[in-house]
Amino acid sequence: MLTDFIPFALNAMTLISILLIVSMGMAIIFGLMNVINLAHGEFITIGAFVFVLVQSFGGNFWIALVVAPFVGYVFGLCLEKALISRVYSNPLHAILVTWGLSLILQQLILLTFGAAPQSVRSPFEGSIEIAGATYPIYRIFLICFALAIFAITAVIFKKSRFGLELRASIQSPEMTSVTGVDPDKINARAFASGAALAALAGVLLAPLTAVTAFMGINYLARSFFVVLVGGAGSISGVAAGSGLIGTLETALTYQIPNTVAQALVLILAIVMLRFRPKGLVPA
Amino acid sequence: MTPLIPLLSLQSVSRRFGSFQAVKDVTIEFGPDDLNCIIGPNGAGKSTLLNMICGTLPVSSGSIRFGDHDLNRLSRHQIAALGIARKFQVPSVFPSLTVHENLVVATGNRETQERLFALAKTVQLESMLDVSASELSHGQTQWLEIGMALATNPKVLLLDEPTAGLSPDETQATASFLRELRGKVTVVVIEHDMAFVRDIRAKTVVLHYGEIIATGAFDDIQNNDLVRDVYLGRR
Amino acid sequence: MIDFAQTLSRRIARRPSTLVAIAVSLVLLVLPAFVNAYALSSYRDVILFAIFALSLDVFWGKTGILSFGHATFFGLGAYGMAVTGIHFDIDPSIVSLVGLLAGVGLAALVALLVGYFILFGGVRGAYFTIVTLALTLIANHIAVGWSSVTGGDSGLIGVPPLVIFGLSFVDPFRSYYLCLAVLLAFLFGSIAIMNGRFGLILTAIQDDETKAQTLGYRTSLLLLVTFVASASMAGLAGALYAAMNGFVAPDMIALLLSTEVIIWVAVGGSGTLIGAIIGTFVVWWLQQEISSFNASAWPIAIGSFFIALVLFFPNGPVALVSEKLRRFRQKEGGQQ
Repeated sequence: MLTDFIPFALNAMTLISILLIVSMGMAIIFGLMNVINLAHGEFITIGAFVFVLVQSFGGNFWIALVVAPFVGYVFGLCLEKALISRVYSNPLHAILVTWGLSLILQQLILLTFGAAPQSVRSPFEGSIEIAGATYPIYRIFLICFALAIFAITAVIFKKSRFGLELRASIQSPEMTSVTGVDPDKINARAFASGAALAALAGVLLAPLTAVTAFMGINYLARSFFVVLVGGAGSISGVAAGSGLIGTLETALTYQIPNTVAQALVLILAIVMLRFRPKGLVPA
Repeated sequence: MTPLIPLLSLQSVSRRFGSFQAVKDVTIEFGPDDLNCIIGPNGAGKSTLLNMICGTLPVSSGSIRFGDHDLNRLSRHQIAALGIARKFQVPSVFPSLTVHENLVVATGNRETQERLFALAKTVQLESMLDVSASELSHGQTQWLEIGMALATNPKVLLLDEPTAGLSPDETQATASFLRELRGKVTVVVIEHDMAFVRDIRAKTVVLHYGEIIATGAFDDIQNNDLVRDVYLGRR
Repeated sequence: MIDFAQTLSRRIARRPSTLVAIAVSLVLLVLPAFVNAYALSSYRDVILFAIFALSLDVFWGKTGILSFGHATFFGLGAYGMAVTGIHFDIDPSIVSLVGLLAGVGLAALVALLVGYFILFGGVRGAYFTIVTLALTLIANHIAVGWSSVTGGDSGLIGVPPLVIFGLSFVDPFRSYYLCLAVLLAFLFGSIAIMNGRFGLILTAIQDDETKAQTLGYRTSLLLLVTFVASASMAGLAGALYAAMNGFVAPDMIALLLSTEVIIWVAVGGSGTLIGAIIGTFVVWWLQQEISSFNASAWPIAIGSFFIALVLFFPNGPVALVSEKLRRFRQKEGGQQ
């Protein structure tokens, strides 16, 4: 019984960690600015390709882990200034603009790096044994790292000055600007932070999947559903959403094909909207 | 003589928001085809009362009955379907539609052109049927909304501050067509413009901190000492 | 009779789009006289896409809620037709009819279920858009993953050609006119409905849904009805496409197609109905030109179009022109 449970728990934890780290950036951007960022997947892709580039210049995973969020942040900042800041008032426009951006980024990456999947070197090879089950070391690292990033983000969100202004801005943008906080600055920094988190997720995912120009799209719908199921604009909502969707999908994958399991989980998420339209943990 | 059966009655209705008691033990009966006014200073609980009648807000305790129906159990559109129409404080019409189209949408069943025209005439918009609602003045928008409420052939018409933001002329025009509605439909008006309340000669209920402090004809109310203290005295 | 003619002419004068719709219909009716059979079958496919675009405009243009997943319904129609025709042993004389029913039924059923859960859950606006986007992703996952039924990545070939009540539509002229008849029926049908009371109510819901509710309308139900009707229309377009081209592939149920149909409608001006059809033809022509450069050029063009759409003409290029025209007319009127 236990020997069955351990691998299941580890698989579920891996998926939950991936969802956590992929969705946090989206939750911040969505919750704060009501911008559904359809280019979020491409920010993940960009992170993975930063890893590819770093490796081709002789660097490794750890260097990429530092460089990618930085690239993501700067890229996000530029985009916010040039495009996103103009569409805050209209969520539909935000969807169309970020979708347009996503299509362009995909093709630019495709034109630059080609269609063949890139491969990156994992920082840890081999497996270790946990309570009788062998499991790849990299995945264990991923789980720990994602939880750490999540904890740090949660602390920043809850405790820091920036986090306070961010939460205040989510609750009532008008009031916050009255108190002398510049909402433009908050929005720009939050969007850039979301992009940085996505790029970080890209580096972490790269050793597990084929790195292609279109890899981001696989995570877009799931991270959106994590945010939707969990509740937009709350960090604990992301945890709840990732936990639920990750566990369900892992459990279902044991019984039915992977694609069908993913589809089923997304369908369940739609059904849930009927009963909890604001998510499990509303902001 | 058969006793007058109230059309709409509120029995010990209360509403709390957390520890704040917005409406406290209010009992009112509105007879058929009567013109009624609820007055009171800001924060007296007038809008809360209206929200509870039309189902946008549940009551904390007490009951609201309309004929044989218990309104507490019904949803907003069911209440609307029973014939309780409401005009909001902030006028809400459909800006993309013309005056005529707004009235068409407001009628639940198909109405004849003549009736729509008569309706437009009641609210003094008969010359503006093809004008887009977004181009109306504030007063005209208020009237259109009253017209839309009337278009549903309501038994009860709830009006939330119909004169807010209107010019004196517009206010007077509003009062004159509301007077004409007496005997056709039960009207409940929330207002704090005293001149207007005097003008429409309605039965009046005075609310203060969520409680009824006086009811009766406007002249009686005007001479009530308590009312003078809390309300009229300030003017 | 005179009365009727008068009301008709007054109506047309008030809504110039009806006039445009009549002009476009005439052009499409005489088109086969000027092109060869091969070109005609391309035009037939564009007409099917125009039905698809019209279906989106009926929902998006009239309710203001953007469906980012309309390819799901086109694709369900196509796969419904193909799977019925290939995997089931159905009498050849009725297989097309059963296939059409299966395709349209499948699209309608999925729209009904999804629409019920999200519309009655109060999901509107951007949320709706994104849930429907995910729907396309789910559908595409299934189309690719469930290969024993759907043929996976390569799709299915050998869909039986369309035969209805013994009448075969293999001939390009016949199939062109069949599709055109469907398009025109939907076009004028939806113009009539949307200019009538139902269209007014939808506009009212778009303006202020709460207000519409207080007037006694079951707004979620009305939106659901429109959504299912729109999806069924898309399903029919997909089913006809599969039968007339003889194959289905996962790109008929993919996000890119969902995206493209939005552009067809947006280029023509959403909410105009006839604009969706003109937009489809214009964009199709553009696509031929642009795709000939490079495979990446078309997606980049779409992406740039979306960004330009929002930044420069948020109500669509047509609205930009008609707004200019209106101002111009007002100016002239002022001078008189």
